Amino acid sequence: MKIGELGVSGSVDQLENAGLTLAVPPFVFRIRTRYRDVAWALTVAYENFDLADPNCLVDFELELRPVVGLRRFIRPLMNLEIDGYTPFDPLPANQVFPLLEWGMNWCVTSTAHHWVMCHSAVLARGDLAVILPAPPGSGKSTLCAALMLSGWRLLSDEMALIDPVSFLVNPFVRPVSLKNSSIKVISTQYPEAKITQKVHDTIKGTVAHLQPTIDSVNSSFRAAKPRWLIFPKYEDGVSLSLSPVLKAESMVDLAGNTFNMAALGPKAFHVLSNLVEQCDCYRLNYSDLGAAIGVFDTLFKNSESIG
Amino acid sequence: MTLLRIRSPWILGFFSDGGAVVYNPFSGELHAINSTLSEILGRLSSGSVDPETALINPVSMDLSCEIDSIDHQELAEILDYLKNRLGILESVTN
Repeated sequence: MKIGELGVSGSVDQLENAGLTLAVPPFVFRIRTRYRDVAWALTVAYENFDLADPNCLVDFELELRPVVGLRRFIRPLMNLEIDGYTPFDPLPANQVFPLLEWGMNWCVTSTAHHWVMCHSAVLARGDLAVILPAPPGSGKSTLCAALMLSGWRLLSDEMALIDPVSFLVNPFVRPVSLKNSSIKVISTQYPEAKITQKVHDTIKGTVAHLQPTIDSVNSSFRAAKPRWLIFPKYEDGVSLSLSPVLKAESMVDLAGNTFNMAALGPKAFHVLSNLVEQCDCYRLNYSDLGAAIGVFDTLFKNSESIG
Repeated sequence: MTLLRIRSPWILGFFSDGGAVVYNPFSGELHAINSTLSEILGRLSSGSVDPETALINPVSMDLSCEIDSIDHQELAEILDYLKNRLGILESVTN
């Protein structure tokens, strides 16, 4: 059954009782909470995701619960508990869904060291992937959302999970986290996009989550071969430019965006250097989303003509 | 003939576009080497390093290179860069 078929009332029932078991390949999360905002957001952002068998092996147990005491009445706060631990400071109760999303990211980046994990968006056409590593504020998520809504398959908005044996990127399809002005940009240019309610005044400003396309969700088990490594940078009013980058420089930048470089050491070096070697590496400066998407489509068409 | 020894545990990785990186798995330091220096290192390390396989089996530990075809000024600059900028040079012996 899909989350969308379960609906808000069904989601509330599961969230408040045994827990809603959400399959986000390759992981399974069990979520418990009495905050109904979570059910509303889940049915938008995860509408096409499967519920996992409640008796299956769950990777991460998450519970969002209110902070007790006076905080229940004055500016209420809530905590996220992950497998019995509370890794984050409490946040205002209206930020419950962003906190859940950040917590799910944390679950993976702090434990899944059998992959090399880079902070980047990943999209694919067919089985060829483009990796977009970038620090916050570079326009990565906006570009990622626009590419996904223009026919590219989303593998992740947040992290590349690179298999250390095959060097393929595993999908970890999740909603795209849109921040501040990018929410309006995407909702205006793509009116069919399904986006959760805006949450204001978070640590990242105003946040909303964009539902992944059905094609992306249905391809959640289809790994892709890294073909392009592109470092995007949004700058207001800048002319579009796509400049080749030396592989050594790309390697340093990619390693700087790798969550578990220190944990994996030489293994990560081995994987990243091979990935860089097999990719064409570029730096992309853009201000116009449509023009930027044209660059990606051209790269893909050229790769098809090369064969 | 000069023998150049890379300090353990630095690892060298060469790329097909002529560039290279040096990596210290203990400290996590990673530096790009420009294509000129990379080419020279590749030349220095011929016999010790096969650039085709250097990425699969990165050069590590006691890499010794014979220096025999670089002018003294260029050599001095390279050695200074390796020793003082990157800190990866263990020793140079004549």
